[in-house]
Order: sequence, then C-alpha cells, then structure tokens
Amino acid sequence: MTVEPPLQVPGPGPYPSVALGDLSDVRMPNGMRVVAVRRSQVPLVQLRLQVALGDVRTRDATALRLLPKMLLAGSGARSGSEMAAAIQRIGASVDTWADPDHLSLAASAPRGRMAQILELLTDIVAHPSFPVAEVAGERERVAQEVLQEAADPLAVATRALEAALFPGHPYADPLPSVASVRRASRGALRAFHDARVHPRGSSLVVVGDVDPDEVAEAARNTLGEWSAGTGPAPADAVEEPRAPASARGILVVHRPGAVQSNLRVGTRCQGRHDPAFPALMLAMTVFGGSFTSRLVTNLRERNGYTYSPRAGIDEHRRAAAVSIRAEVATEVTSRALAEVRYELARMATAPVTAEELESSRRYVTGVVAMSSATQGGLAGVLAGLVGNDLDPPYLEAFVDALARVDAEAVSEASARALAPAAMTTVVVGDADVVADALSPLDLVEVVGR
Amino acid sequence: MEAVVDTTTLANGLKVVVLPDPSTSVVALAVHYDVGFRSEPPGSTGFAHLFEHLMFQGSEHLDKGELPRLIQGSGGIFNGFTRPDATVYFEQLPAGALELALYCEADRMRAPKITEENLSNQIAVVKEEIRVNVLNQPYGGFPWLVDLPPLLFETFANAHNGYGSFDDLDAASLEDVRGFFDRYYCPANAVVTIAGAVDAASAHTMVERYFGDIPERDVAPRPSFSEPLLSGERRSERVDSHAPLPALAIGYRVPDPIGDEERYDATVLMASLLTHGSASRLFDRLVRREKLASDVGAMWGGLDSAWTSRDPTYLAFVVHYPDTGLAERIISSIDDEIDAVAAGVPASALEPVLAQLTSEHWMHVDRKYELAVQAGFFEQQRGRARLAFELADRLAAAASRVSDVAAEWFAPRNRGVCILVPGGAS
Repeated sequence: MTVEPPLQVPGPGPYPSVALGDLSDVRMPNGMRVVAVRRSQVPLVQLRLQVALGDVRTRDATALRLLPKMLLAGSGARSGSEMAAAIQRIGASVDTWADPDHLSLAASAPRGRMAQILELLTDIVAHPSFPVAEVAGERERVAQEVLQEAADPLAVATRALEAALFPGHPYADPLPSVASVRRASRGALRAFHDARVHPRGSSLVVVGDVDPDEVAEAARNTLGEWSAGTGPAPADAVEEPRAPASARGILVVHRPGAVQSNLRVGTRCQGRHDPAFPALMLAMTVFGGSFTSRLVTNLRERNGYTYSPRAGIDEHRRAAAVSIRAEVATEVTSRALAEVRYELARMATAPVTAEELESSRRYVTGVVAMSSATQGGLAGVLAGLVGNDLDPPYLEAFVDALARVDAEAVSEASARALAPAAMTTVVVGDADVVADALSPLDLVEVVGR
Repeated sequence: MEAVVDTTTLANGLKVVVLPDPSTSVVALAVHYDVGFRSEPPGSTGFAHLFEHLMFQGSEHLDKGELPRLIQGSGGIFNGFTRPDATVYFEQLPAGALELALYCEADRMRAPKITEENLSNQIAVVKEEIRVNVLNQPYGGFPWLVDLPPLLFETFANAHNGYGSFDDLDAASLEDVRGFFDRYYCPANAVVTIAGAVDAASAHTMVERYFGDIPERDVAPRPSFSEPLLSGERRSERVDSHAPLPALAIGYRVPDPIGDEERYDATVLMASLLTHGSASRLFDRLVRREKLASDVGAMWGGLDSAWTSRDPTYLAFVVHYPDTGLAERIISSIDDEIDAVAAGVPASALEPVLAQLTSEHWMHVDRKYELAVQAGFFEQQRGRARLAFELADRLAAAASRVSDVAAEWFAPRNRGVCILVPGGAS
C-alpha cells in the first residue's frame, strides 16, 4: 500500500476586486441626489433613501425614534394599514429608521414595480399624515422599546461608552425617558418633519435589475416632485462633537447579580475623510476585526474568557470612534480587561507582522467585495458613502488605497488611535464583585450602586 | 433565468450539490452533517453545539487557528451553527478561493484534531455564549430554549435544552468527542453544497480531489423522533428576572414538513398571512387596532426558518406586550384570527403574501451562502436541493389548503402556551 502525501494547501486565488460598472449619478432640481447602478442577478430593485436631518440636538432623541415609525403609520391618502397592504401587494418591503445624521428608508421591489415603489416612498417620506390614533399607539410601542433597551446590558454598555465619547452630543444616542416619549405630541412630530425632512441634501440609491437612466427618469416623476420646502433651511449637519474629557479610570455601571460583565473600551478616531483611514481600518482588523485578530485569539481562543469579542470603527458623518467590546464572565473581568489593554499597548508600540498585514488586507477587501456583490449589499454600501458625503467611486479608490498601506502606516495609525492611555473604559456588571478586582488596573468609579 | 442544480454522490457516500451562477464573483460552500441536538443522549445536553465549536480547533493538516487564518486571509468569511436536525458549516469567498475552503472542510471531515486543552477552552467559550445569549439577557432563550420544547414534546430528544446544562458541558470528554465524530461525521452523513461563481464540472472535480479519499464509514440509521400530538392545551409560566415587560408564546405542533408536505407548506403560508410584517393580520389586529401588543412574530422549531427541521416540529407565535393582565385577551384575539382563517381565505388575501415571499426568496438567493445553506438542508432532508429555487411556486400551490390546516391543526388542544413574567425593574 502506498501512502499518498497530503495534498498541498491550495492558494487563496486572485486578489478580490470591486468594480462598480455603469453608474448614473444626478442631482434633481429639488436638490435630491440620485445614484443608480445596474445589477441583474435577481429580478429586483433595492432602494435606499436618506434625508440629511441638519443640526439635530440631543433633545431630538424622542423624535428620532418616533418619526420613522410615524412615516409608515399613514401618509398621503392612505392609512397605515392601507400603506402596509399597498407595499405588500406589489411584493415590496419598506423599513424606516433614523440616527442623528439621517432619516433612512430602505425598500425592495420586483424590477417591474420600480415606479410604484417610488410613488409609495414619496408619500411615505414627504406626506406623512400623523393620524391621531396611530401617534398614540406608536408612542406606547416606543415607550416599551425604551424599557426593553434600558434592561439590555449590551445596549446599556454601548450607550455608556458613547456618552463618554460624545458628551452632550446627539451621537451619544441618549435613551429618551418613557415620560418624554409619552409626552411627544402630534404637533411636535409634524413640526420636526416640516423643519428637517427636505429633499435638499437627501439622496436616493437604487441598485438592481434596471437601466440606471430609467431610474433617474422614474425618480424625477416621483421624488423629483417633492417640493424643496419653504421652512428655514436646516444647518448642514449636526455640530462637530467636542473632544471628550481625557480618559480617566474605569466607569463601572452596577448591575446586581450579573453573571457577565460587558466591557466597552473606546476612543475617538479619524474618519473616512482622513487619508490614514485605510491604515486605521487594517490596524483595527489586526487588532480585533476578524476571527483571527489578536483580540479574539487572546480573549477567546487562548483564555476562554468570552464568546464573541470584537473591535471596530463606528462612523458618523461628523466623527468616528474606535470601539472594543467583550462580554466576559464576571470572575475574569479584570483579567480580561488587562488582556485588552495589553493587546492595545502591543498594537500601539510594536509593528504588526507581514502576515497579519497581508491577511487583514485581503480580508477587508474580500468583505467589501462580497458585500458589494448582492443588490442589497451594494445599495447599503453606496448609501453609506453618499450619506457620508463621499462619491461612489470612493469604493474602488478605498480598495486601491488598502492595497498600498504598508506596515509603517499601520503602526502610525495604531499609535494614534489604539494607545491604551487614550481609551475610555466602561464595565457593566456586578460592582460588588468586579469593582475591587478592577482597582489594581486603574481608578474605578461606580455608578448605580 | 433557468437555475442549474447539479447533484452527485461520491463513492464514499458524500452528497454533492452545485448551484453555479456565472453572474457573480462570489462563491459559497456549505457542509451539512445530519446530526443536531435532537440526537444528544441524556447527560450530554449541548454536545452537538459544543462539537460544532470543536470542529474549528484544528484538523489533520491544520493546526488550531489555521482554518480561520486561511479562509479570512483569502478574503472570505466562515461560520457554523447547530439546529435540532443538523450541524452546518459554511464559507463565503472570492471566487478563486473555493479550492482552499474545500481543502479545509475536507481536512476536518477526515479528522479533526481535538486536544484536552482545546476542549476545555471551548467549553468555557460555549458557557460565555450561553451567558451572553441566555443567562444575562432579558428574554434570553425565550421561547425556544427551555419554554416551548418541554410543553410540546415528551421525549428527552425533542424536549431538552439544546444549548446544554453547564454540568453536562463540563462532563464532555475526548472520548465523547471521538465517539460523536465516528458516529455522525461520516461522509455518507454529509452534504457538500457549492453556490456561486464556479462551473459545475470544475466544482465536481475539486470536490472529488479533496473529499474523494475520505474513507467510507457506515452511517447508523437515524432513529425516528416522532411522538404523539398533544392531548390538550398545556401551559407554563417563567419569571425572567431581567425582563421589564411580559411576553408570551403559543406553540402549535404542525404537519410533518416532509411526510405531509402540502399541509406543512400551507402552514408556512398561514404563518406569513398572520404574522409576517406590518400587513399581517395579527399585527394589524393586536398592534395596530387593539393596541394590546408592541410586537408579534412567528418562529419555527427549526429556529431560523421553516425549512431546517424534520418532524416533529412546531410553529410559535411570539408576542411582546406591556401588561401581564392582557395575556388572555391576546390569546383570544389570536384564536379569533385563526378561526377566521379556518372559515376561509380568498385567494386575493394570499396573493400579496405570495408576492412578498417571492421577493424575499430572490433576496435570499442573491446571498450565496444563504442559498448554499438552504439548498443543503433541502438535499439532506428531502433529497431535493432544487427546492431552494422552487419555494415560491410550491407555496402558491398550497394556498388552497390554508383554511383546512388552520381548522385541523391550530386548535387549543394542539398547543402549548408559555408566559414570560417580568421580574426586572422597570
């Protein structure tokens, strides 16, 4: 019997690439930008409509939660129920949400229904009717949503970090009080819509089995008729968030009896408009952005402290932040945080290996290529760019820029963004157990005990 | 467009499905093993899922960490998941990296390499997974983990907690690992599915190259897990100390997904009519008109979709609502809507539901790993990968049975009702 040598490990194949192909990018007279790309693998169109909301303040948190729901609760001549039926009848779907930068609508429809879905989207975004009964119902639903989020330790931890990184700014994503939700009046919601939801500064992205020029034409006949509005022009965007107080100590949010601690570590960083952003993206990937990253290798695969630790860059239109998260067993909280800080220090002071750099380059490029390969994925990616004041070709330029990042650039980005001294640390957990254990690492401040 | 579905079986019994799509630059690979948490014996709860973790810990020619490094280093993603009737591993990659993924999957199908150290490491990781998803989380595991299965089923196989108890996880040994692998991870108990940017001929050549020499092993016949229907409504209540508001779930035993296919398909259609999206009847009634609930949805015994489980299984309606006192009114409104369906549903009421499901089907197919995963389930459980492309037509054909199914299966005697009582501060 002959023993065959094991087959060689195959190579990874050609470097992944991204090509947008034919694209139409026009601005309609009312100020709305329309970007369309043909992708014909399935007989659908994917649409993403974003309205820049202007200088939103923290006090608008309640309106940001209620308005997207009210858009679907009745508009034009249709009740909420009639609108839901009209959407379903043509095999379409519509979702709405808002953040301090944008009001967003995501829709899909069969390719032959593009004109109808654009008509419905126009009514939804431009002509909500705020029916009295529906306002009352949505207020109660949002109140319940707020109660549930307040009880969710993952959300509490994320919000506590954001509050520290964006003090007093809407990017802190404050949870409105139940009382403020219940007080939100129909008039106030309508006024928020009138003042902030306008076609200027807004954008429509369409990706699907359609001719890009036909999209532009269909948009002109629907969203193009949306009047530019007569209210005061909202300022361009939220104000630039001021720098947070320098990071100090560990904030422990007490959650009695918690069997896990939710670690959040983060700092503000440069955003996509900074030329060093591609290097930062690769640094974050090496640090904690993939399964093979240092964070996952250490916390999960070596120590078994946690299931799914990760790190990433949270991008807003006017700011960005590095954030690191790990949900760890209560008894290993301090050891886990020590390992996070050790890995941060290693990133900030020593070079990444050539293999780490090449591997993360391929991974990030591959993920961009794959998310751009579906209609819905590409629509989302392009909407993210356009909403961030970037042009679609940025996507190809970003992939090219990733290819040129060298180890030195990654080191520079790491030293700038990942130094442990610059990090804010939040721990949601049982302070009676973890506060003392954390004290050798840093000053500990406990809230909620 | 005409979908190509090319299936074959290797000499060692491994089934292979190829779904080529020349319009994309992405390729996906899924490997389905015909074992899930239903096959765990008493004392080994959670073992199928723990074993899924162990399959990422190294194999004959790949040290711990190498599979993730190779897949991600090619620009790809990977994951795995465990369900009542299957354990699934998948990758999605740039087209040129398919061969690399096949190498990795074949290597671990041939021989995973599990050490005592890796076993304890992954037991710790799985415990943290359970803590983050269940023990430390409001509504964690509701209603699929410990609420509905023991109400709807009597046998250990069907009723037990598939995440496992910490005691059982701690008791897992390397001997258990070897036994489980030998018994369930044979080529003839698996399906390899490839979807996306590859032509069928080269896909088959590559699969043969990497999997062809894995020795054939006998597959133990899969036992029947069937058990009688309920003899009357059953109820349970559980306090969730983290939850600020109540929730309830009504689970119904449903027709055999495979043996009674048309009725099962009609059940899927009925579930969509009642709960899918804001045009659904239960949303319209409970949330929009009666304002009894903040949210209503459906979940399946196979967990993430209607198409991952064999018989016996269930469909549950899950409702979140503001006040514990509303439960009976909610249940009674749901009963009214089921009665209305049983009294007759005009085709015009189902056409919009079918239009919605058809569009969702296309979106699903556009994501290659989801297509590979779904086609793999259909091949493994029904020998019909092609169903992944025919689902919308199949559901349309079941429309005339929707009322009958509502009348025959959705009566109180065939259900379990579980109520989650909030114990959290609000």
